[in-house]
Amino acid sequence: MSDKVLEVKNLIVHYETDDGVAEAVNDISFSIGAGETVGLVGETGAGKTTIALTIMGLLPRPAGHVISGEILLDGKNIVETSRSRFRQRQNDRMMRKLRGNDISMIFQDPMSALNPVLPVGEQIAEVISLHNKVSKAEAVKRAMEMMELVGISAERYKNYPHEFSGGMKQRIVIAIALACNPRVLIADEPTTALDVTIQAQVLQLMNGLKQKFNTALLMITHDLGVVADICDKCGVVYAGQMVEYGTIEHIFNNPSHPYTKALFNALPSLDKDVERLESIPGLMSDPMALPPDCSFRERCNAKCDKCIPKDPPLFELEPGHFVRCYHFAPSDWEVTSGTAGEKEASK
Amino acid sequence: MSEILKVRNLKKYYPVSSGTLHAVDDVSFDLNYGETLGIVGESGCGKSTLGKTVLRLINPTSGEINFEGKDITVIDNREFTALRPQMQMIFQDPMSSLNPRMSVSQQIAEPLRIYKVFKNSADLEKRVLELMDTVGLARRYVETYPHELDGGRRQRIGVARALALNPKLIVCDEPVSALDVLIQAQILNLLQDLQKERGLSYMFITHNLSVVKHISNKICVMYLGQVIEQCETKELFNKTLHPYTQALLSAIPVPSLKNRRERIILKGELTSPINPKDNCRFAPRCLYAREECFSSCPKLQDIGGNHQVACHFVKEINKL
Repeated sequence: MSDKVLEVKNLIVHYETDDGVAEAVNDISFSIGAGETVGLVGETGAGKTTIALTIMGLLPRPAGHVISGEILLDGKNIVETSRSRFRQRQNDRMMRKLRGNDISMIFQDPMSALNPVLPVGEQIAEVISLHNKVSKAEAVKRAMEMMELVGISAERYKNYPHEFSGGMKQRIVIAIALACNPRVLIADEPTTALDVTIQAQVLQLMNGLKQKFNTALLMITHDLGVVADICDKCGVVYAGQMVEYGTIEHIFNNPSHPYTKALFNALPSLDKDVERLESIPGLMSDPMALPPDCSFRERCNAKCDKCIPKDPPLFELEPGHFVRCYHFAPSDWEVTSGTAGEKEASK
Repeated sequence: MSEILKVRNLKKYYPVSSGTLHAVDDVSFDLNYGETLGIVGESGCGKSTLGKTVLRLINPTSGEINFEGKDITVIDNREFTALRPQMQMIFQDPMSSLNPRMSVSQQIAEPLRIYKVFKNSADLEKRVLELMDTVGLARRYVETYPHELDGGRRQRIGVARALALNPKLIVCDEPVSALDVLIQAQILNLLQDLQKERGLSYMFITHNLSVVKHISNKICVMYLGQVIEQCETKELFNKTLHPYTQALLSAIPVPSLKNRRERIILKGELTSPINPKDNCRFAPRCLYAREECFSSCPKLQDIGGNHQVACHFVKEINKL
């Protein structure tokens, strides 16, 4: 696998609201290489989208704050943890150059991601002329090429978003995201709003383009099927933490964290018949009041004596397969042997 | 009589500026007591319109809807009002189907109030609490408002409302599409438990084939307002015959690395349901389409074992 293009290290993001602090992302680390796809799965409110927005430098202000951690794009840090307005503005300026050019994002709802009063072609050309010194005619030409690439006739350059169907709009969004050949592409639930047959088309398209441009792809989804389809590695996010991380073979053939298992068991399957779906009671802990111990403990059906009232670190189950559960603590592991953060940093 | 619902040649057309929109076009099916009929299809295929038409929330253009042997399209309003409590609906988005200014108890009590089921408010309150227990809503939520609850609990209010008048038939219009998988499993289990306890019949509308496989006894696959394949659930998944159903099944991302199926990627998208020509509506996207498919519309034909398919070349394609 090639070098790491994007590296997220011990990222902690909080939303500071009038009602208190919501700990949206707690110590997330992962990395993506060129041409690699990493999937993040989890329920609504697990913090998946916050991770994406932080990488893009689009955290809502003034509530969102990166408390600590690093996001390295080609080895260069792109997040600002300082609260100095000067530093933040500096970072914003830098991000504006990177966004669309080096990192791009595909949003969930293509209708609200596109400008309804601008022809779609112009929206693609806009990105191209913003980041490249090209003439208007050249930008238009390249925009038309992008449209053909995503399977939309260039004759529709002057059409408005409402004249396209959902799947076509998502293709336009993909064209915009890929127009400047970014090194990193973040796709936040790109097919959730689409029908399955259209979803299959869009996933096929994304997979093809990813290989063609050798883009690092971060796929955020709640659909384990989509992960199995196009990802190389997968992280399961729960209450802002990575509870399990590994290659898709690790996750799908040997799901180990009780939460990951619960996710698989709750899915109605096409292959086997089950009388009753297994579900776990309760809800994800409120990010405003996270428990001091394992955040999944309350709903866990595999609680045991090993579960101490302390947040578990990630344990390496097999090379490259990490699980945040005391169940998998090596026998020589002791509580005193370091906090979660230190353990991870040393891995 | 084993059918609670018998729908025959149901049509719902909408006049639009450029012609007639065929939302539901000649749909017939039966639903037995205590069973679940799944209606699957992509967005825009008319499955929600079908659900609403069956309950006469929308009046059909033509056709028969026999509920317990009575054609509800021809009976007068008074008679229909008396029947209405027996047929209820659960909607897709619990946020927009609930009144944001009503507390949980008011929402659940509303149908009971309208039908003046109870004379005094103590009985009404008791019934509301009973219903909350049935659907697994803790009693402490009785005075909360929808925005204070999560999606799963909101959907439970929707279920409680539908159950309030002891219906026999519930039309579930994408009841779990807006929910996370763990919550989805909870609601599906709840619906199944209620069916067993009360012998309810469900018409379950969804785009999710794995959900429909889990919950239904029979399945209708719809495409552009028409039913193109209809049979028992097991039969459909073991012996998928229509090229569209085959493509639909193959397009579902399977959350497993084993037994991956080969994917059939369909070209294009749903064609317009406005002024459809008399051809097979799936023909423009079909891998096997021939001349005949563009000149005449295939009828649903029984190919044995109560398996009905609307395709001219079903036997050839599947080598039957």
